[in-house]
Amino acid sequence: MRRSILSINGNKPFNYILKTVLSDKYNVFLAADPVSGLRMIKEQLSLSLILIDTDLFEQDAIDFILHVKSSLIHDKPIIVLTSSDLNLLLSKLSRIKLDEIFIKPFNPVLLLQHIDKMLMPVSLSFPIRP
Amino acid sequence: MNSINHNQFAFFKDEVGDITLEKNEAVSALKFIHIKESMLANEFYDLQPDLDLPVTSFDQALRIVNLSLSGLLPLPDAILIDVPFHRAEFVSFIVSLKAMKRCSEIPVIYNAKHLSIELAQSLSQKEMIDDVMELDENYELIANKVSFLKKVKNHPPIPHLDKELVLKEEFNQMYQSEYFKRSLDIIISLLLIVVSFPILIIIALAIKLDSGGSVFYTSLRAGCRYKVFKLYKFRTMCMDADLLIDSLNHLNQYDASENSQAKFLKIINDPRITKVGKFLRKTSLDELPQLFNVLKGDMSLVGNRPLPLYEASSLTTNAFVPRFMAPAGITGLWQVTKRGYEKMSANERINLDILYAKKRSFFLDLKIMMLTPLALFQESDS
Repeated sequence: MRRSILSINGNKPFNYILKTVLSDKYNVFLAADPVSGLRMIKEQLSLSLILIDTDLFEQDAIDFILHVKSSLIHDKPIIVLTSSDLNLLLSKLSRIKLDEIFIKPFNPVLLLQHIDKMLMPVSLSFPIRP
Repeated sequence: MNSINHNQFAFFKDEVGDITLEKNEAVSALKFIHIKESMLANEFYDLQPDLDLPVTSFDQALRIVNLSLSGLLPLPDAILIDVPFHRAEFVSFIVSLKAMKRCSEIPVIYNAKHLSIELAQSLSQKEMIDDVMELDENYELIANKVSFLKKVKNHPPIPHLDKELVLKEEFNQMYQSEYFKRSLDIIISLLLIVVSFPILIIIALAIKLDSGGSVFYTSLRAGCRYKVFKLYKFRTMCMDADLLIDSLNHLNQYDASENSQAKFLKIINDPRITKVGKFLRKTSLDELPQLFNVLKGDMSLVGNRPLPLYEASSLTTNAFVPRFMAPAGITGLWQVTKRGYEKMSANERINLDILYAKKRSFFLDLKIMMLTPLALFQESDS
């Protein structure tokens, strides 16, 4: 079954290119801001990963990340896309463990490869015997 | 002042006229009803005694909500539940709470230590709780969550979960003309392939005789919305020319230190170009195989230049990314605007690409197609 990814990005063209690059392998849902993003998460509990851009709605994005990562219901791997000051962002998110950050500009194809790796099923370290 | 509540807080803000109040100050004014097993002080309560109204039963919590609705107390910003889960009591409480006017918007958060993930998800899907978290976390994290949940609850609902969502609307008009553009691309590219077929054969033979190796050169390019595809060209350089790029960086027309984030490569009098390749580039005949890309739907006749991946990845910034909203094209605004000029800054090129992405129309495409033959026989062989 194809896995689902939610991309939350206030920059519409950015959301479109992420959808194009990721759609070959994943179902991609788009949200224009973190508030609509959370509403979508509530409706789509089977999401495997969230991509969130912190540039346009920084405070909401930070609140969203803090909310999701501290939630028993909604906790999912999150990849943060940003072009803002990384140290400042990390200090604001110091209370939680971030999964990954991509600094703009970045290669979307590498992002896809990274997601593949993150969502790869954990292989068993011992062979299964009949 | 016993405690800060929303109303007092708002009044204070108006009187002083301070409209640039810090968010954290607003967050610190959040007030919670905290349903817990006993009234013994805990760490959270000690930290924020003014903001936490501890109660030991759901009934007490409902009484406080009633007092709030009658105006004797401020309406709580959230209800935190830290008691073992008893379905009947909990459901009865939630049903009563939701039935009260203005109370359905109050976030309800349960302590994670009392619920399994499955039960938590089930209650969330039934909209009986808003979240489940460790309530022993620090106050600021809880306050941030409540503040964000309130914002979400006041947000108008999304009509339905559409994969493309509302973002598509802005480009709807473009989509309508896409069918026309695509039909035109198919007809014209087919026509041109048929007409130029003898030329294609002659060029292929010339390349074979001049430098051996393969006739076509393919490279991965990022097109419309960063769709990665194989671009076809007649080979104009020696075999394995891509492997020599690093050794030619000093000849790059686009200075890497230029005030631009983009990375382009354009070398004047590139030593890797073959004799036949030089002619093909001068006449732009090397681009002819791209008609097959147009036929396949990778490209359009008119659009932005499909970029090699190393260039495209340098343009994934907030400012430059709109250039990917236009289709990749054989010819485009950049080519007809300044094709004869050797020097065009990377920023100028990107701005032309963005301009085309925003202004593209059938008539602009027509104008570009008409101007293309003039720009075709360029002086530059790079």
